Amino acid sequence: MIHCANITKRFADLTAVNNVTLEIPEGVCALVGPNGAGKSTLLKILTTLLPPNSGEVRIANIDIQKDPLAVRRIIGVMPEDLGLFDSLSIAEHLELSGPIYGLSMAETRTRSQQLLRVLGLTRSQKTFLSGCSHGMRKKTSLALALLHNPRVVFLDEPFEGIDPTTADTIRDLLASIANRGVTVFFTSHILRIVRSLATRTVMIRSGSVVWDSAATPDARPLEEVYSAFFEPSPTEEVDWLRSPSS
Amino acid sequence: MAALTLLLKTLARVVRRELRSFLSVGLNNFFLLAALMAYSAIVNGMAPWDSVPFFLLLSVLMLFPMSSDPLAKIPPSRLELWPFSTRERVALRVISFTASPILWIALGLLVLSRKFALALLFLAIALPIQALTALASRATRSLPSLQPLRHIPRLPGRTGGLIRHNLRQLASVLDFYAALIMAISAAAYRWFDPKADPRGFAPLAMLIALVLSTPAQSSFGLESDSGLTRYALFPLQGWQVLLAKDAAFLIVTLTLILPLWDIHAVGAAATFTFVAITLGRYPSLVLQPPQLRWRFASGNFRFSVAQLVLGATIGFAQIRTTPSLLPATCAAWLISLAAGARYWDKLHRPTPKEAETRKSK
Repeated sequence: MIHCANITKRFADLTAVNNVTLEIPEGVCALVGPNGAGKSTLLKILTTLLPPNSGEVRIANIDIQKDPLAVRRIIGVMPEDLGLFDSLSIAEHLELSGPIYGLSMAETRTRSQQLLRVLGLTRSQKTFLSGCSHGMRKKTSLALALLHNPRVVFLDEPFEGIDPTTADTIRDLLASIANRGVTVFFTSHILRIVRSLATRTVMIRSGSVVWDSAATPDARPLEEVYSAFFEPSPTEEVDWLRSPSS
Repeated sequence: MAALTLLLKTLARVVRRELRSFLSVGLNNFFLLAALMAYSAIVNGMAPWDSVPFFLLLSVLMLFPMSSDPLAKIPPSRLELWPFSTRERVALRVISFTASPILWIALGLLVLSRKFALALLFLAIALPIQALTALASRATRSLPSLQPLRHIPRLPGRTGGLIRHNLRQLASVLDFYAALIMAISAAAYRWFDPKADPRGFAPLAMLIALVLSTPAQSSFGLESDSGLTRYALFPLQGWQVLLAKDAAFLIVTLTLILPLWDIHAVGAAATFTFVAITLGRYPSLVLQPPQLRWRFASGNFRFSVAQLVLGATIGFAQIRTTPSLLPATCAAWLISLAAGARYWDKLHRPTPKEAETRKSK
């Protein structure tokens, strides 16, 4: 469903994505890596937001550079900055989005109400974005990604900053749409959720794929595999934090 | 005390920076018109009284956003968390008023004019506005349904939601309120003045369109990065995105003109607006002048002058001699829409050829 071959993206001297090749079929694929590894940049390339310097990307066999509009019609995206408008309420975001993807207003309203119920946003649906918590914004962006029932869903850190109950609900929702044949591609730092949801895990470091569970299956727990690939955090002591308060 | 002084200094810096944002009015079409009127009066040896109502309108409208509580610049949770005693908090509350722009403007008036009455008159206007702003802000916070922008309905069609979003953005710049006040005044003149001259309706309509014309140069200026990402993700062609912007602009202008109930007025305003949007296309897409909510829109000087001169010239010609100029300006607007859409698509959708070039690189 997602095919990318030799994707490279450079920003001046920095190579954010370095010759990445991935073949992702239906199911749930998680992209894991430390901050600055290139996860969001790769996601932006796959969702037509950023053109790569080289390489080829196909979503459902459509070349994203040749026909990005056709790709946008069949994907649902929760981008890094969530892609929301300050001047609209939660419900209005969904009302705006549905017809753009060809849904009738009645269908948009029915689907919106269901999504808002599932995501626990019914009571706050009339709240403007400026009055929403980070979690509510994230859930709104997720609802926008799912509203038009896309064939491929891209989510940038969907579980970060979400309460545990909603995180479980989202996980179940994504698992169920994946069972229907939708491809879900998400980035995350929460390895517990990655382990329980993803059928495939890809680890990325400095823009390059360092481990792909499909290519090199590993029986070890995901946390161990992760530690093996990524440097432990610095252990420098902050002396003044150890002394009495001042 | 040292912490309080530091905090006040920071507050003063924040207020000063915010005041600078009001300078955007200097490149506003309405301000430029008023300035031009004042200049031509002075050059001709007359007192610039004709432009005074325009300057007053601009100033009074700017007082609303200027009147916010200086202490509100500090995030409430941060303010609560800082370890200040009750005495220090009271002191901070009292002294914070010295950072109020209103007070400094009153002092400035006093020093410059040496007229105590003038400074007092300013405070007499500004303080009720400050109270009104605080009350309205509190009321809309506790009862969100009181927010007028919330009641702008969704329009039908595929991009009806986008048009609503654009209408709300237009209603969050002061240009809209200046145009609204002008429109109400014009309608009152039209309906309640027995000596109202129908020949004056079309120029009045053009004036309303002119007051509203600067935002045409910054139609994406109020979009956040997040909003622009969503635009890029929508499966929409460039012309659909731009048409949703232009439609909001035309809807607002025509709604404000409609109470004049005069076909020539509608024609004149439409002509001016088509010219303004056509000329505003390049700055709004390429130059992208920054725009803040609750400020007057700011344009690019050359494009502002072009909007004023061409808009007025073609508008008057359309009213007096050549009605066919309206379809001509409409055609020019359509051409600018097509060109702008091409630019938008290039930005958000590289053509296969460009993609190939990129691949080969």
